[in-house]
Amino acid sequence: MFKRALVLLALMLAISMILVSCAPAAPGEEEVPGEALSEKHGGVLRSAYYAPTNMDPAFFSTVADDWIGRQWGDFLVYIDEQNTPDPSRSLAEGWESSEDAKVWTFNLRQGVLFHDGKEMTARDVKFTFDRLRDPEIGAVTVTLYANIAEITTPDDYTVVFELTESNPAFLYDLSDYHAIIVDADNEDFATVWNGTGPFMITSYSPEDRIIFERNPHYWMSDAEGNPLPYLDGLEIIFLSDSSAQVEALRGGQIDYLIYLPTEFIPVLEADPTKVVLQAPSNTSYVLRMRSDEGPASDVRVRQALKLGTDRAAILDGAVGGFGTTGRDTPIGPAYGDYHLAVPEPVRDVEAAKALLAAAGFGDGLDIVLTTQESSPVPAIATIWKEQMAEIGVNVEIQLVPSDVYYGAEEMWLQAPFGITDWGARPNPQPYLDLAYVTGAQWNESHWSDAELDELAALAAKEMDRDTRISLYHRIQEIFMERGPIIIPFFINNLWGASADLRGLEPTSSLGTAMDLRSVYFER
Amino acid sequence: MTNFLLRRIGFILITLILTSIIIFSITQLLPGDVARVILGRFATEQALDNLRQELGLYRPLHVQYLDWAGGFIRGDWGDSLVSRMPIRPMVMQRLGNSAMLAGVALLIYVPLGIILGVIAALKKDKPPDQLITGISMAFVGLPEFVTGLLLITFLAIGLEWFPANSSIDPESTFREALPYLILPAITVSLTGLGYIARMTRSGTIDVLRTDYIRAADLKGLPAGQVLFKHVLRNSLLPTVTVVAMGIGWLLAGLIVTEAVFGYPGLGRLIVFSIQRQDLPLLQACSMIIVAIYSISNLAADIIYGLLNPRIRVGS
Repeated sequence: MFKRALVLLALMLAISMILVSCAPAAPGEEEVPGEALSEKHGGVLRSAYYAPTNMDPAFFSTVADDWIGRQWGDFLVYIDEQNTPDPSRSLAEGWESSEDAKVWTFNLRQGVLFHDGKEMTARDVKFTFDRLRDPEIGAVTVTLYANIAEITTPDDYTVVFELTESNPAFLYDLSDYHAIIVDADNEDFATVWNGTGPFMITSYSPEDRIIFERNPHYWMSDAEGNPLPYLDGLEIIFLSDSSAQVEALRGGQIDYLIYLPTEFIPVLEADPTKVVLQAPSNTSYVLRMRSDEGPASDVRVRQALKLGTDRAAILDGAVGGFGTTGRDTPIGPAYGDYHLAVPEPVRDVEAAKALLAAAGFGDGLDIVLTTQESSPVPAIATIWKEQMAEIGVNVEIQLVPSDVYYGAEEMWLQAPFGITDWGARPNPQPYLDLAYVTGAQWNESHWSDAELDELAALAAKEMDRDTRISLYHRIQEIFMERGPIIIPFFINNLWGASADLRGLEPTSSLGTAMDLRSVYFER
Repeated sequence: MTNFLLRRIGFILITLILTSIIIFSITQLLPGDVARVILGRFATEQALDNLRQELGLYRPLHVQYLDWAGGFIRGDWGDSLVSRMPIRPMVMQRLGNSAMLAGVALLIYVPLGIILGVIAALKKDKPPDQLITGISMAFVGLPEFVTGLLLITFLAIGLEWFPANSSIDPESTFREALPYLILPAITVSLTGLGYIARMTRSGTIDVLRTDYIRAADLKGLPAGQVLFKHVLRNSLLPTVTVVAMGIGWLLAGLIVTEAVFGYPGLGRLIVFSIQRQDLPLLQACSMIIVAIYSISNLAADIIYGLLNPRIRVGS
């Protein structure tokens, strides 16, 4: 009597079954976990971040690309947490340079295996850097490595770089995040990630997650001789929203988060099961002024805007005080001796007004500040706007998405006033060469100062560290006197983690550079 | 019947071809340069040029289209621009995941919707009917990102019955995935439930008004027998159609729900392909969804015809 109803029910069940059976079949038996190597070994570190855009090291462009690369790859020269090259964590176990820093010789570690079992040799190192400097391939590193004249491999474990010009900071250039040593026999770098790194990619779903497992043949071991890494693997879930990332950490779905946004720090610090780690860094938000045209071409206007800026107020208001106030020079406090330790500039509204009046803007000045819609830039712009109002400068904030700011129109290089984020670099020289010397590729303020050009060129080749320090100090004085930028603060590198995670060592370098090889879970 | 089927299948093919052209044209209009999206803001001109060359972006549009369409028919859906991985396994796997979610949702909302609809019809205009109609309408109107977040707040974070996030490994088996499927499935069900309940209610009310039901009542048949033997077998016909068409909606319309729960289904893959301007991936996903919609509509018509002898399709 229920025939129709039964037909209906059966139909529904059948449909459901068909749909459900579309699901992938169950995999084979579960792997039997091997015996733990030590009490520190084991566990999978789960994290969340934005999805990567490019997996080929030569074309890494986002933080996610860099962070993923560091897990499956190694560098010829590893820069440690204090911005010093560390041979014990590098693929080169030693190096030396000629006196003029034009010839650099690297001795490679022997017995280092790629994930596919092939041994890493000088040929792979030469291949990696030849690829990165090949204009035909066009990696962003072509300019960085333009100074390399030739790379030779006298034997399987020796690589010699001959440079056109002396470069005492060459080791830092080699540690660039694109310079993961790759397999010279690889034919598709976009989909085959055959590195020598501590973790191997086992599954990659572009919109969803990437899964790594421990490299059992990794070459590093800890002080007790136990093989590294300790973790069995990594799992990075792609979440395109920073609050979702933090929620996942708070909810215990992940254990670790890089580039923690400052607004979430109080919540995490209040939670006893989580920790916040930080280290001063050279990451800054540079408020730069076109110094070749418009009002800021007058040095008095630049000085007035600097004098009218209250840096501490911007640091507190925009990023909750998690950083160090700037001195309007790109060489920040995280550089140690290179940094010129002078007191924070004192805000002087009256002096600023007087300078503006002298420059002919006594009746007020209207400027447009191009601002990326990316935290904390709008907050910096808003606070600065209020401060500028007090010295008679009316700032109109023009909000644009970051894609547009850095887009094809190159707004970031063209706008009269803008706020550009500059990532941390282990060595200050690239900032000068890339953005401040006359005609530099990314000279966004269009600044041209003969004395700075000369000092920057000298510093680039100076072999003596003390002389280099004094050159950098003089450069910073120039920036403070007449430079085209205001750096309100250097933001700290910030990480969030579960409280049971051990071995995390905060670094002043990029936030991605925290070394996960010696991280473990306390049981 | 055969004629009817052939004609309908022909229509589906035309729909698919037109859709593919429309999708292809629209994706060409999206602002931005895919090479720059992939290589980032500081890419060199040389690298951009190499990539455009490699991806065949310099070819005339109709050549790009024909190449793509030809490959699609042969089963070679190409590689994703962003990840450079083959598209077909990726799409099929996510489709499988969406199907698991759809299956669980169907099992929840179809029986429940029918029961509620029948109750509402029997108690027409009385409090139970008003309650059921009112609540189900409210849920139909509420978007999934609201119901989803409400459910997460109460059932996952408050009562801790279910995980708050369904971001499982895309390769999970059904059994592994099941606990993570319940909450998103309920979210979808709340929307689907209203349609089924209303359809069942109106169908049942119509049948209850007919003379043969009145006759059955008057001749003294027990109420249960009247309901099951005479009412439901007629009143559920429209519901069947709604269920079959719902499959298309379920597989294709889960974009919001999957995003809210972070579930690795087809919906999230589409959102990703749009964000990254991964055109081949977007095209493949869209084609699959259009195909599923068309086929489930056809299935709805066929089933309706089979169940209802009064309808003679195609004659």
